[in-house]
Amino acid sequence: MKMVTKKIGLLLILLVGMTTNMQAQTFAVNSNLLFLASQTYNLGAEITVGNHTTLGLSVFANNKPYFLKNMRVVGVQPEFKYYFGGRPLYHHYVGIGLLGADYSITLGNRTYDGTAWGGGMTFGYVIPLSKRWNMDFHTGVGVIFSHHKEFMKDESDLLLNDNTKAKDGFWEYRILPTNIGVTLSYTIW
Amino acid sequence: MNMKGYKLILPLLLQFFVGVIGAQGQGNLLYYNKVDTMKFQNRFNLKTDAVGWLTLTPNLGLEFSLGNKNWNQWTVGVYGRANWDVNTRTKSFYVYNIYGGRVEVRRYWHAKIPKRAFYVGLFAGANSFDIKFGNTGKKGISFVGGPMVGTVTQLYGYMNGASLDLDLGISPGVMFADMHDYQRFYKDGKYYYSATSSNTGYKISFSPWVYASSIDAVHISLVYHFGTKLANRYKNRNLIDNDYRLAVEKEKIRRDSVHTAQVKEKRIHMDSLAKADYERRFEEQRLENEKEYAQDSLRKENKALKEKQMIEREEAKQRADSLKEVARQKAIEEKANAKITADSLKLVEKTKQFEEKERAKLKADSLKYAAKERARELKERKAMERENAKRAADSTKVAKEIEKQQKEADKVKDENSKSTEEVEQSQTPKTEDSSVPEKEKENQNTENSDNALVDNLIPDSRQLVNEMKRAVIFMAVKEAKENTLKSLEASSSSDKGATQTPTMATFQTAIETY
Repeated sequence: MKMVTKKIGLLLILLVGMTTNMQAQTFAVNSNLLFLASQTYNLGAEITVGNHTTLGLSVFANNKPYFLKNMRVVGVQPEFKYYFGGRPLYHHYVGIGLLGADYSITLGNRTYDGTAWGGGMTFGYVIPLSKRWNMDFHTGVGVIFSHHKEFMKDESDLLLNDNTKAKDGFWEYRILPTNIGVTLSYTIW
Repeated sequence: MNMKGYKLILPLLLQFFVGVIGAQGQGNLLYYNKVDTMKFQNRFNLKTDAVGWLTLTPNLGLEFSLGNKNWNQWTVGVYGRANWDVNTRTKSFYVYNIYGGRVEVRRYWHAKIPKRAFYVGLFAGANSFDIKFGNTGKKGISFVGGPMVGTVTQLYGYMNGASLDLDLGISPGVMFADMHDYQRFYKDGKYYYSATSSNTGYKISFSPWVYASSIDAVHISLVYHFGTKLANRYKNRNLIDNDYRLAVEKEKIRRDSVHTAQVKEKRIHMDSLAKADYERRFEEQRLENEKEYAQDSLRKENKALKEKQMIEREEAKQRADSLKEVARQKAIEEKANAKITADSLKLVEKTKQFEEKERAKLKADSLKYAAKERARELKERKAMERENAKRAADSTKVAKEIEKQQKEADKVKDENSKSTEEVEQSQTPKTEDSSVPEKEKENQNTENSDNALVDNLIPDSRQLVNEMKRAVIFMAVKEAKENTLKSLEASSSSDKGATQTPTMATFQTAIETY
C-alpha cells in the first residue's frame, strides 16, 4: 500500500513537471449530443495539460434505448488530444483514445454479450460558441478487441471458422469507428 | 533513500528535454521571400486521407520534393492504404477489405494567398479488393490511373517551421480490373463464401463499388510538412530568386538584343538590297536619260547645224547674188564707162580730126589771109583800129551768142533726155546715130562759117574761143557722164538696154552744144 502511494506521488510530480510551462489550466465538462440523441447518457471532462494538449475522460451508458430494445452498454473513454491550433480546446486536434465497454446487444436472431477493449485515433474540430461554451465535432477510428458470447435465438450452435462454438465466447478484433460525435462542452475554469 | 533520489531524477530529466525541444522549435526563423535550401528530411511530407479513415481504411501518404530549394514545384509521392481482413473467426455478411497503393507526380504553384497552393498531377495505382455490401461480393485486382487536381491549404504553421495542411483533391481515372463474384452461404451452423462467377480478366470496368473504392477519387487529406511550411514551399522562383531572375532577364535581354540585332541586320540587308536596287534603277534611268538627252542634243545640234547650213547657204546665195549683182553692175558700169570712153575717145578723135582739119584749113586760110593781109594791110591800116573796136564789140556779141547757144543746147539736152526717155522704146540708137551726123554737119557748117568769121577777125580771140569750147565740151561730157550714171543707177533694176540711150542722147546734146 505504501509502494502504491509512492508511485502515485511520483506520477503526480511528473505530471506537474510536464505542465509547468502551461499558461493556464482549464477544466471543461462535456456531453456528446449524438449519444444523447441515441438515448445514451454520457458525461465527460477535459483538462489542459499543455499548450496544445488536453486529457479527457468520458463515460457513457444506456439501457434499452428507443431504437433497440435489447441493448445495454456501459463504457469509458479516456483520450489524449493534441490541438494543432495555438491553444487547447480550439480548432483542429487529434486524439489518441482508449475504450472500454461492457455490452449486451440483441440484433435480429443473435445476442452478443461481452466486453470490448480498444484504442483509436480521433480527429476533431472545436468551434468556440462563447467564452465558455464550445462545440466539438469529431470522429475516430480504431481497433477494437472484443470478447463476447454469441447466442442464436433458436438456441442452435453457430460455428466459427475453426469449428468452435460461438456461444462459448471468443476473441476477435475489428477496425471500427471508436469515436463519433458532436460534443458540447462548458469550460468551468 | 538512495533509491528514492535516483527515481526523482528521471522525471526532472524528462522535463528538461521537453523544455529543450520547445526552445529549439522557437528558434526557427520565418522567411518567405528568399531562396531557402531544405534539408533532406524536410523535403518529405506525410499525409493521411480522412475519406480513407471514414471508410475504416488506415492510410498514409509520403511525398517527396524533387528539389531541395523552396522554389521547387515538383513532387513525387506514394500512398498506401489497407483495410485488412480482421474478421478471422467468422464469415461476415458485409466485407470491405482493400489493399491499395499508388504513385503520384504533382506540380504545385501558389496563387495569391501564400497559405494556399494548387496542384495538378498524375497518378497510377494498384488495388486488391474484396467488397461485399449485398448478397453478391466482388473480389479481384484493379489497376487505376488518371489525372489529379487539387488545392492545399495551410491549417497551422508551427514555430519549428512545420505546418499542418488540408489537401482537397479529386483524381478521376480509369480502372482495369480482373475480378469475380461470390456469395455467402450457411450450412450446418457455419458460413462459407463461394465464388459464383469466374474471373473476368483485365478490362475497363465501372462496377460502382469497385470503381469507387479503387479509384479513390476524392481525397480530404491532412498533410504535415516537415521543416518549412506550405507558404514557403512551391514558390515561384522568379519572385524569390534574384540571381535567377537577373539571369533570366539578362538572357531575355541578350535574346532581345540578339533578336534586335538580327532584325536590324536584316533590315540593313534589306535596305541595302533596296538601295542597290534603287541605285541600279537610278543608274539605268540615268543612262536612259543621258541617252535620250544625247539623242535629243544630237537632234538639236543636227537641227541647229541644218539651220546654220541653211542660213549659210542663204547667206552664200545672198552673197553670190549680191556679188553677181555687183559684178553685173560693175560690168554695166564698165561697159558704160567703156562706151563713154570709146565715145569720148571717138569724140575726141573726131574733134581732133576736126581740129586738125580746121587747123589745116586755118593754116591754109591764114596763109591765104596773110597774103591777103599784106596786100590789104597797107590799104586798110587806117580803118584797122576802127574795125578792131568793132570786132571787139562783135566778139563780145559772139560770146554772148555762144552763151545763149550754150543755154539753148542745155535746154535741148534736157528736152532730148526727156524725149529719149519717152521714145526710148520706139527709137533705136542706129537711127539716132544716123541722124546725128546730119545735124552735126549742119551745125558744123554754121559754126564753121561763124568760126571762120571769128578766126578771120581775131586769131587770138579764136584761140580763146577754142579754149572755151573745149571747156564747155569737157563740162558737157562730164555732165553727161554724171547724168548717165544717175540714170543708170535709177534704171539699173529695170531695163538695161534702155540705159544706154540717154547716154547717147546726152553725148549727142553735148556734141550739138559744141
